[in-house]
Amino acid sequence: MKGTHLGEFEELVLLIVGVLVDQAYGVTVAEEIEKQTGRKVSLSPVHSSLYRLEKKGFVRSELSGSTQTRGGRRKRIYQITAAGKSALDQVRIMRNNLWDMIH
Amino acid sequence: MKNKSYPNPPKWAQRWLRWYCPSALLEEIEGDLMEAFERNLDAKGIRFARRHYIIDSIRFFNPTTFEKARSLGFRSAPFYQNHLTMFKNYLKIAIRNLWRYKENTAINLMGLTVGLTGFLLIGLFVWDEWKFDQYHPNNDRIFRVIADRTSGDGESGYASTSPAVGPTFKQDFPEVEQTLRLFQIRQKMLFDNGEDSFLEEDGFFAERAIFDLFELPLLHGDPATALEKPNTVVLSTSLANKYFGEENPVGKTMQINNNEITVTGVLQPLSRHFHLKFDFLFSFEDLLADVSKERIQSWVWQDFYNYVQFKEGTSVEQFEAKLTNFVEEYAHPVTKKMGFHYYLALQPLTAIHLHSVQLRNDKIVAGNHRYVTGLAYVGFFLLFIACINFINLTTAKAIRRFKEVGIRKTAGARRGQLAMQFFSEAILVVVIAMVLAANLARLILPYLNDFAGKQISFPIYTNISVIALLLALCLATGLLAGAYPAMVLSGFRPLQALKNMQFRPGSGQEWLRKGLIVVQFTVSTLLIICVLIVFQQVQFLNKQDLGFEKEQLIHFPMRGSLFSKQDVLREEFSKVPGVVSTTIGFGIPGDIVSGDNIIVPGEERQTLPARIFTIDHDYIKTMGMEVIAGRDFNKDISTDADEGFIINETAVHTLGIADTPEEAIGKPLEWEMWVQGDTLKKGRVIGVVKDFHYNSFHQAVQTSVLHIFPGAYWKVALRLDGQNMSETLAGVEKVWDSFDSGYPIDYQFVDASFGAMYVAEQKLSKIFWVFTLLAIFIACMGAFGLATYAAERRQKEIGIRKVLGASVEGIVGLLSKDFLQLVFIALLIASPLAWYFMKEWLADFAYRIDIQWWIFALAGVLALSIAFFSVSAQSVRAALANPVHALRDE
Repeated sequence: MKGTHLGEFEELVLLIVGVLVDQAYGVTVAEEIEKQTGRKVSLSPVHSSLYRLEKKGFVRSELSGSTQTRGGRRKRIYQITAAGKSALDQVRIMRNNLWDMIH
Repeated sequence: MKNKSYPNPPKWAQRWLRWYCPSALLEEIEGDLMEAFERNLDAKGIRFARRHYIIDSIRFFNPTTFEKARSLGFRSAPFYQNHLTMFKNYLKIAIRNLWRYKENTAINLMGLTVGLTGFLLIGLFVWDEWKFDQYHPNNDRIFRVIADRTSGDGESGYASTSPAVGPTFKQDFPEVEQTLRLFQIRQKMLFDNGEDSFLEEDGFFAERAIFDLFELPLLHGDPATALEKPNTVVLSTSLANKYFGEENPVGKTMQINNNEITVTGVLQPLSRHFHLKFDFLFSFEDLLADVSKERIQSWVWQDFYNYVQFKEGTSVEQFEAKLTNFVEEYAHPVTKKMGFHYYLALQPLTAIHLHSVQLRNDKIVAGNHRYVTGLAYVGFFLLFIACINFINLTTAKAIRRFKEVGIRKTAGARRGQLAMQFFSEAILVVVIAMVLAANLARLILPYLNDFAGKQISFPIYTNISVIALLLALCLATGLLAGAYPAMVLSGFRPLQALKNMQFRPGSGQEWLRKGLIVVQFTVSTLLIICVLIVFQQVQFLNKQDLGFEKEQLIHFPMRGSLFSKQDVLREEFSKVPGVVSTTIGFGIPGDIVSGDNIIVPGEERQTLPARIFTIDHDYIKTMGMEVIAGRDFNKDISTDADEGFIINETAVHTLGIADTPEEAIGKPLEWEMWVQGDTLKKGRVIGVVKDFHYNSFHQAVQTSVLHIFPGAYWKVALRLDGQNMSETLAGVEKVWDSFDSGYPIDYQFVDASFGAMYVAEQKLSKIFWVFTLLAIFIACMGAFGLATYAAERRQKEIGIRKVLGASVEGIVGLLSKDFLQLVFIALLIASPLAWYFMKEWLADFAYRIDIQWWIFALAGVLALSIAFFSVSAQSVRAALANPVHALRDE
C-alpha cells in the first residue's frame, strides 16, 4: 500500500523506537542506532524519519515535561503504535519467507 | 541562568534555527540539538560539538520539517507570513503574462535559448581545451625546454632542442629533479607478430622517466623497468590488441623493422587531455645504440623534446635566468660556427597544448590559445547580447504592466517587493530557456565532438556539479537580464501609472536602449566582416599557385633493399600504365624538407641557411616546376650531377649572388656533403626555378637549392595521368611487391598533404559562420524588440500623422530611420575593430590577402538590410494600423 511502505532507515528507526520504551526521542534514537549498528547519523534524518513514521501512523508522540538540561527545552517522546508493530511483523514475515526460499 | 564560561553552541546557528524553525517543533528540535551538543562536548570537545550543531541546524532546514509543522497546524517563519503566498502569486502572474503575450515570450525564450546554447557549447569546448595536462600530479613543476633560434632566416621558436640538454641540466643544476628526452619516430615502422604485419606511425624513443613525469599508467608491465633495456617496446592498448589479441603480451617478442623486439608494457588508453599522442614507445637505449656518442652530445642536433621536472620550491624565473649563461657556454661556441645560435626557455607543461602555435618542429596535440580565447569572448558576447534583448524587450513591454504596478503599489507593495517580483519573472524565463538550451546543447554536442575531434560529455541530469553550475549560470544570467527591467518596472509612480496611463521613459533609458542595440550590431557586423575575410583567405589559399602541380602526384619512401636498386626502380615504375614520370629524391613538397646550409664562396665566404632538395634528373619535370632561367638537369651533360645547382627565385636574392635570375647562372656555390664528412661539393648555378611552395602558406618560401645527390635519396614520386586511378595504383603496388622489400607500399597524395595543412583554417571558417549566424539571429531579435517598443511608444504620433495624411511608406521610413542610424554607428565601430583583429590573424600567414574596403561595404549593406527586414514587420504593422484605435482613448 502506498504511503505505508517502510524504508530501510525508517525500519531501523521504528525498531529502535520499539526498543527504547518511553525513552525514544531524537537524541536517544540517534545514539542507539550508532550503538547498535555503528552507523553515524545526525539528528535531522532521524527526526525526518520519526515525522514520516508518525504521519504513516506507526508511531505516536507527545511532549514530555521540561528538564533542567537541554536548555530547559521539552522532549518529544515517541511510542510505537499497534500499526507500527504489525508493519514490522509484516516486514519480518516477508524477509523470513524470502530467506526460506534461499535455503 | 547562564554560566558565561560554559561553552555554548554558535549564536548565529541558534538564531538561524529559531528563525526558520516552526515554533511547534522548535521546542523539541532545539532541545535535542542542545542535548546532543552537550554530549558531544563531553565526549569529543568543543569544536566537534559546535561543528555538529551547525551542520544539524542547517540540515533541519528541509521540507519534512515544514511539512510536519504544517500537519501540526503551524507555519514557520520564512513561509508563514505573506512571503510564500506572495511568491505563489508572483509565479501565477508571471506564467499568465508569459502565456498571454506568446509572441513576446517566444522571442525572449528563443533569444535566451540560442544565446545560452551557444554559451554552453563554447564553454564546454573551451573548458576541455583548458583541461589539457592538468591531471599530471606534478604539473606545476614540469616544463618543456624550448628554443628561440636565430639564424640567417630570422628568429623562430623551436619545440625541439638538443639531446645534450637533459643530461647536462641534470649534471649542472641541483634543482633539477628529473629530465626526459623524447625523439619522434618520423618513419612508419613495420610491425610483425609472425602472422600479420602493418606499418605503424606515431611513436617515440623515450627515456624511462616518461612514466615518472607524466601520469601514464600501464595496463600490463612495470613502469620502473619497461623501457630500461634495449630492444624493448611499450604498446598502446589498441596496438597490443591488434597484434596479440586480448592476452597479456608482456614478455613476448615481435619483429619491428626486422629487429626482434620484446614487449615490456601495455599502456592504458592515453588521456584525452594529454598533449602527446603515440601508439608505441621504444627504449631510448636503442637510439643510443644507433647514434654515435659525439652526435648524442651535440648541441647542434635539434630534434629532441626535452622535459624537466624541478624539485619542489624551485624558482623557475631564477632557473631561466641561469639558462642564458648555460647556453652561451655550451652551445654557442659550436652552433655559431654553423651560422645560428639559440637560447633556451621553459614552457609550463599545462601551457604546451595551447601555447605552442608559434613553435616549429613540434609534434603534439595542439590547440590554439588565440582561437580558444576568441571563442570564449564570442561565447560571452552571445550571452550578453541575448541578455540585452531580454532587457530591451521587457522594458519595451513594460507599459503593459503599468496598471498592475500601480495597483500593487497602491495596495501597499514596496519597491523592493516589486523588484523581487519582476526579477523572479526574469529568473523563471531564464530557467525555462536554460532547460531548453541544456538539452539543445546535448543534442548538438555529438556534432561538435565530431567536428573538433573531442569526446566531451555533458551530464546535465546526473552530475550534481554540472547541475549546480547550470543553476549558478541561470542566476547570473537572470541577474544580468532581469536586474535592470526590475528596477525600471518597480520604479513607476503609482499616481502617474493609474491616472493617465502614460509611460514616459527617462532620456537615460532611451540612451541605454540605443546603446545596447549599437553594441549588438557592432558584434554582428564585426563577425560578418571576420567571416568574409576568413572565407576570402581560405579561398585564396586554395587557389594560390604553388609553383608546381600538386594534383595526381604520389610519393612513397624506399625501404630496405630498394635503396640499392634505384635505376631499376625508376625504370619499372615508369612502365606502369598511367605513370607519366618517375623521380627519386629527398624533398617532396608537402613532405619533410631538409633544412641545411649553402656556402657562397668568394672574398666574403658566407654560409647561409637553405632548404636542400636532393633530386634526380626527372624531378623538376615530374613536379611540374617551371625553370625561368638557365636549364633543367640534363642526363647528357655529365658535369650536372657533380657540379650543377638549381636555385629558386628567392635564393637569387637571399644568397646575394645576382639581381636577376639570368645573372645568377654560372655563379659558384658549395655544399657540405652529408655523407662523406667534411667534403665539399663545389659547383655552379645552372638554372633558376620559379618559387614553389613546399610548406603551408603560414611560412614564406625560403632559399631553396636543388641538386643531384643520390646518397640522400629517400622517396619515390610518381606523376600519374589521372585516368583509371585505381588501376594505375594497383600497377604501382604490383611493381613495389615485385621488389620484395618486406614492407608494404605506403604512398601519399601530395594534394592531400597540402589539404591537411589548412584544416584548422577551414574549421575556423566554419565555426565563424555558425556563430555569425547566431549573432545575427540574436541581433535581429533585438532590433525586432526595439522596433516593437518604438511602434508602441509612438502609437499616438503615428495615429495623428496618419490622420493628417502621412503615407504608409513615409511612416515605415520614419520608424526604420532610427534603427538604420544605430546600425550605421555600429558599422563605424565594428570596421576598425574587425580590421585590427583580422590583420592580426592574417599576420600568421606568409601569403595573405589584402583587406579590401568592399568587404566593409558589403558587411555594412548586409547588416543594414538585416536590420531593416527585422524592423520592417513591426513598422509596417504600426503604419497600417487604424488610427482610431490609437487615438480614441485620449
